[in-house]
Amino acid sequence: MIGIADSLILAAAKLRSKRLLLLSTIVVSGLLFAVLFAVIIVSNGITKSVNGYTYVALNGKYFVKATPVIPQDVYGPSRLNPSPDLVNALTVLQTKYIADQKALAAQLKIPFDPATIPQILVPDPFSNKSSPEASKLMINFDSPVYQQYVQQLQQNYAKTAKNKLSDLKNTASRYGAVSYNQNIQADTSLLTMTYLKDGKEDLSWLSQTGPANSDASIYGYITSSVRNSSYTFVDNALVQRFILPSNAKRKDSTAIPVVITTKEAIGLFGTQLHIGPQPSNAMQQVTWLKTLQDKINGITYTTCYRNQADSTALTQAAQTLTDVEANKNNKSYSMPSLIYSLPTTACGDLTVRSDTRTQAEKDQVTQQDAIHKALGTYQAPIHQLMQFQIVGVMPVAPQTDTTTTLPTFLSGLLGAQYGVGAIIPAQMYATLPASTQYKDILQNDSTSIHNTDVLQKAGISETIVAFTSLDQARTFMSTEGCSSVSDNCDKLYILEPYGINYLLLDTLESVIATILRYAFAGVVGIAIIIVWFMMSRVIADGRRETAVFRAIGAKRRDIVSVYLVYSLGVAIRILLFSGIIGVAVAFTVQYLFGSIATNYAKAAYGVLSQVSDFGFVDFDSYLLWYLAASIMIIGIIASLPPLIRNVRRNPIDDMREE
Amino acid sequence: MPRAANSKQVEDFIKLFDGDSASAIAAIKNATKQDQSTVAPSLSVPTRVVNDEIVISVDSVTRMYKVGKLKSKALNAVSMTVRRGEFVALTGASGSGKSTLLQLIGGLDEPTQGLIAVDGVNINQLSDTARSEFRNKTIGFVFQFFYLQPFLKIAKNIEVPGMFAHTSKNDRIRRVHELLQIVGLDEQALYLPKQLSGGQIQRVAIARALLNNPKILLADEPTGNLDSANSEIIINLFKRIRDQFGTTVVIVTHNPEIAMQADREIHLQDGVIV
Repeated sequence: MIGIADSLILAAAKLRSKRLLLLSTIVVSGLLFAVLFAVIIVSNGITKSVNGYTYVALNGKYFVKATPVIPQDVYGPSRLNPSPDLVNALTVLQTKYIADQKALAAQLKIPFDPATIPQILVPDPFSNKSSPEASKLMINFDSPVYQQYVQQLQQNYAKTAKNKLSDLKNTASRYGAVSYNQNIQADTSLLTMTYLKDGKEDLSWLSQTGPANSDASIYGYITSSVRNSSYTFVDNALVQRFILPSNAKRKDSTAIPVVITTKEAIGLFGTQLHIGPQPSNAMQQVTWLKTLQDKINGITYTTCYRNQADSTALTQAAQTLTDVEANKNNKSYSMPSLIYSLPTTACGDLTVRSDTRTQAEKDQVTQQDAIHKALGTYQAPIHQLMQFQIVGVMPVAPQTDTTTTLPTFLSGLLGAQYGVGAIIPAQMYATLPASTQYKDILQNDSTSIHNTDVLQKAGISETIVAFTSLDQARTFMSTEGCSSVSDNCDKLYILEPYGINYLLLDTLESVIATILRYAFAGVVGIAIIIVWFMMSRVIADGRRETAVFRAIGAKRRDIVSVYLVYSLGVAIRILLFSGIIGVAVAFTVQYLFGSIATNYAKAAYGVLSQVSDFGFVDFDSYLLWYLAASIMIIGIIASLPPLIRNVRRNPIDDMREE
Repeated sequence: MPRAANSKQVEDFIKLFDGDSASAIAAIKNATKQDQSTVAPSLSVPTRVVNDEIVISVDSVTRMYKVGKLKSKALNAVSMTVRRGEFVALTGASGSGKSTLLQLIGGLDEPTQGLIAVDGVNINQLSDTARSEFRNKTIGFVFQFFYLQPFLKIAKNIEVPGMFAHTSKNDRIRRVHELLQIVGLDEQALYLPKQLSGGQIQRVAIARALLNNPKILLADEPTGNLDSANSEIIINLFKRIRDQFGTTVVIVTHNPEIAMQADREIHLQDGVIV
């Protein structure tokens, strides 16, 4: 057979003919393949950049939030329509509770009135009169018996539960888990810790109209974690990237360290620090974040903690004052015997405005307190000023934003998702002196004596599991858990990425793979038709030439060799053209969006250093080799049918056709 | 001093093998040696080799073509022989079967009946591949319309049969150099066909046909596209080739003046030799 070098010479000569046809084939096919090249290069670049950012931000760890799947009935029955069996069980419990309380009172030699014990079952005012008796009742959730009943349900569940922390550790360790952290809600009672704006305690919440100057959202919720006193203890490692370096303000500070969102930082301190809201421009975002970080680092604020008893006393005092004010001209109004004035200083005491109680009334109060103390139900009113210090800010990630603009896409991909509330870095908190840890107020441990959550105490609570590789985390999640509660989960845990939704990368890759699959099939089909058409024309027009070659001694396989080299030459040109255009497009995307994406990524991350620029261009993909090989194969496949037809012809026929 | 050694030609041949001057120089040295040997006789000393050896034997050959449902007899029981070194002209009117006979002799076509032996080989029995080799080594074809590769330089065009014969590059270069001298186009080695006149192009086609030193040169209306002056040059070239190399030359022509210059004229009419 003719040598490769000679085939190249003859094929190269052919490539110089039919230039217009060849050029149009290369341009049309090449542009189609160029799109694929660009998509592969750019998507690879995005994936690699996001992976890089994720790795740096998570300090080489991938966190999984494991939420135990707990049957709904463990949290207690519904309030309405209790079943007859449940009514019987609760009635028995109520009877036993009263008997126990009565026995305790006798033992303590204090009077006992069963009427003071709230009924577990009360009439349902909205029940149908024709309904069965049991359905006319409803459960009183404020009853101590109900609390006992629910606790009993949870204790029973905890005895046989297989999703305790110890179980989770056994399971997760098989997938390579390296650490386990439980985020603990510092305080779950709303409005027990009031933010002191300008050093003043806002007591407007005592009025029935609610807080006068709250930053309530349109849905009526107060979105500020600080105003909401919503704090969560989180392991330092999980929020390390948001913690700013210590400065003079933070040196020797005994305030409770806290990381808040950038949005909340602006809401609370924007005016004071002369920083406006987050700009939309990417470049301005980075500068804005840097300024915010510099100015807010070490800023302190004070809150006033009032426990339930103190809050109740305040509420009662406020109500009394309102009544007195409303009846000041009502001569028949009987003034209360004890009237308090509201505190005049931030987080101050109630002061007695007038006390006309008789000694008997005073003794009755003393006796009631003694009874509650004896029964263990007494709560002394406590109020406490607490100082917090901002040690970091984190960006707010859109949780369900489905818009497809670049900023929201990147924010969703990279943004932090640590749930609701301000964050107290657990290890930083632990270094505070005991006097400012306020351990009688804040619970930073599930085993805390203040923690009344039976399930949490049994180790059945949300746990953050850390892995050192994405594959480990991904396998653990897909094997051992459900992604959400809404999919009829039959596993022990709801497992989802924590901190950064790194699984969005999987989604991204999956979407791109799907797009590429269809696009590839389409482009290959079109390209084969185009190249086939071109080769058919070239070969048909070259029949006389083939006949001459045959006349001067070319074998059939010599002709095949020349045309195969020719088709490879065409394929190489398509490959080069599409590759150059594809790369050019990718670099254009990089040029146009590179710096914007970098700034958005930095802003979304909340980290301004130790991260490289966001790159849209990356060639390290086997798909590029597949595509290049496919183009070469397409060149050959598309040329074979016309070529086979051609070499089967008798050369004399083609010469005679002249 | 041999022609191959002149400096202009050396430069041209080095250009021919861009980036491979060493092989070009080696080829030219070889060419020089060969010029001095007996392989390529000097043009100025004719060494006509004519003997009685039958080199082409056509025996009762019939060729029928099917055109639709009709069968047409292009050749009807034709028999003829040609001796080695003979210059034969096949003449006849259009459709007389002269080109068909030439193609059958050249192994481009197969007879419907009869035998054709060329250089002692019954070409009817050759496989397609063997017939290709036969055409490549034994036959040299020259066509009325030249059929050169338009985007190959003259020297490369002449090389093409050598590519199919697996001749080494050096040998090809040497041979191309010789042939360009023979056809008087050594100055045009690096030209493209479109830069040459019709007569020059036909000389290049003849050089291409001679590349593998064929025993038989078959030319189908080689002067059909040329003026009388160029026709004369071509016919003289055929004669020189026959005289120098002993090559048997069979040409198809309908020009009586050209036919007269052949050693023998075979006239066909309606597929029969008359």
